[in-house]
Amino acid sequence: MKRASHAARVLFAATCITLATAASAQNLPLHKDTREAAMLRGSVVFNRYCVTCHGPFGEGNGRAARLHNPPPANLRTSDKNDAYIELIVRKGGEAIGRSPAMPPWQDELTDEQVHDLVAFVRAINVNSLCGKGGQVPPGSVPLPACGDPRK
Amino acid sequence: MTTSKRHILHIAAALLLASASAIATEHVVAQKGKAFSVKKLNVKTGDTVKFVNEDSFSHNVFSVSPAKHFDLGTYPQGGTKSVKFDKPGLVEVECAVHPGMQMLIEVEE
Repeated sequence: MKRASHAARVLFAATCITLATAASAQNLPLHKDTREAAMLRGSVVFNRYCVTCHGPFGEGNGRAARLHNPPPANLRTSDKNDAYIELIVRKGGEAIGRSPAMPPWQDELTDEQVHDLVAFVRAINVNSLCGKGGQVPPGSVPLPACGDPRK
Repeated sequence: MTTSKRHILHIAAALLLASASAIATEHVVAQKGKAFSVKKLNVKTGDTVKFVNEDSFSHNVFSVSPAKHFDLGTYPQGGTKSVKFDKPGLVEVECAVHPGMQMLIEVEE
């Protein structure tokens, strides 16, 4: 448990450093409406609510993962789009024909937290567009290529 | 084996089962205000704990403790879930939806 908690802190720190570096490289403040700010807030939500099952790196290997069959999704390799991620976060797995072990979070998380969480999950996904010329919201800075957050 | 002997064995087995179920206790733990109603519970091996959701939102109960690992899933207001503890040890019980919500169950021989 301690190791997972440490790993979560490492991931959080790595995400912060990556985002802060990206922002400072552009000499821009991290405005709250930017994608980077959403990702930072999303990492906090992830590390509080999701890490138990999905693991500190979102690979589906959290400390409670062994309780579930099928195992929790590997969010780093998932091919699901943002709308799907938002839906399963809000409604839970059972409502959309996936594992009932994924709880519905709509009563626990605010709309902003759900939005931020989706931004974070997108950021850690190896297939995401960040840093590869994807749509960048106004005020956002280009992100580095999405690599392994442990590196 | 004669019919009468088989009869006696059946009766003995039934008595054993009846006495076992009479000894086992069902404990009730409420989930209210994002907290378990008790922080620690002592139970005997074979006892059952029933978790009752008295909040207006969903809860989940799980444990990854070696003495007993389980996930009772997510259930809404008024829902109940039970788990039987079949071996002694310390069991940390948590709610996946509310990370600060924890309790300890000590299962004794």
